[in-house]
Amino acid sequence: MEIIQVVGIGIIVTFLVLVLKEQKPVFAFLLATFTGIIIFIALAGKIAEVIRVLEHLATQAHVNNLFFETILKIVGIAYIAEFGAQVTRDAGQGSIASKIEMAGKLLIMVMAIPIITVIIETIVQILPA
Amino acid sequence: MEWISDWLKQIILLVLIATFFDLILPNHSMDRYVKLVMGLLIIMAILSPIFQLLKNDSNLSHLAVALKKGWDGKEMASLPEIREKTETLKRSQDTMIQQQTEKSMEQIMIQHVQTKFGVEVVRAKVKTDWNQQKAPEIMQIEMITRMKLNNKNAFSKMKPIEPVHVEIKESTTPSKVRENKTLEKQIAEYIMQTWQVMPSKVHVQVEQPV
Repeated sequence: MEIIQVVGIGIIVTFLVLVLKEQKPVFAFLLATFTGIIIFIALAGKIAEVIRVLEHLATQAHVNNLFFETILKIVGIAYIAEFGAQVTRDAGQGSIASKIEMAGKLLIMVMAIPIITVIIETIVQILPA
Repeated sequence: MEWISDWLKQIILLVLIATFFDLILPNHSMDRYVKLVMGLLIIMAILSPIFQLLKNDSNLSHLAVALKKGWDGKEMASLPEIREKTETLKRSQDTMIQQQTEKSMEQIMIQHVQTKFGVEVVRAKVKTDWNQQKAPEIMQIEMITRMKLNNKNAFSKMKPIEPVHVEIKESTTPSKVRENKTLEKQIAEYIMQTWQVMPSKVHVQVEQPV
């Protein structure tokens, strides 16, 4: 019943922020950010379960460990970058949010480089010299 | 068939993982990156049997070439050469057998003659040849012996020679020659009887002691 807890926290915080925004907009923003972090951490355990299942599948499929780790890291980077971008966007800093997103994409590309090099090397090896 | 099920299982699991990752991803801008990587992985999984085949193929072709080379060199001049080789081998084996028999015959003869007649065999030569039954046959026996200086004992065994021996001490040349002749005859007769050869094939010569 985590969904009810999460939705409850969300609704309560929304009301609070609406009330607080009139008096102290900075505190309202802080409250929203922390609530976001709490929800994120609460759901991290659930993501771990999903990842465990995926890991099991990957070991059964004889996927290279390097590949699997890289993909997981890509997913993690995507999550973190998304969260940061949303928070900054909430604070009204759309440009910074887009920069965070750009950084996330770049780092994902860097993470993908080993996999791509391995695959390209294999393909080049197969081609007749 | 096991590899096919393995292969299919791998592909199916990879596709499932890819869809899961798609679902997990928080926003769609990151979708493309993960999709690219997962797509490459799935392509690798699909092509893995072909990779293995190519690797094995190259190995097998190398092997086949090596085998062909190895066989070609030997098989090119096969039958006539092999026959020739067998002929030469047979011939050399025959000659070796002949030589061996000759040698052993010579040795046996030398031993027997030396012990029986108390002479020193200087040279013994046995010539053999292959008869029609492919068995060695004695063609000629040559033996040169020499009287020993101290061979009283040996001569005492031989009754007919004993009186002759006494004559030697008196050193008369014709009697010596006669004695040598009788000894030659005896040795020749002995050889003829023991080896069963024609008398014309046996030549025995007795030399004077030096």
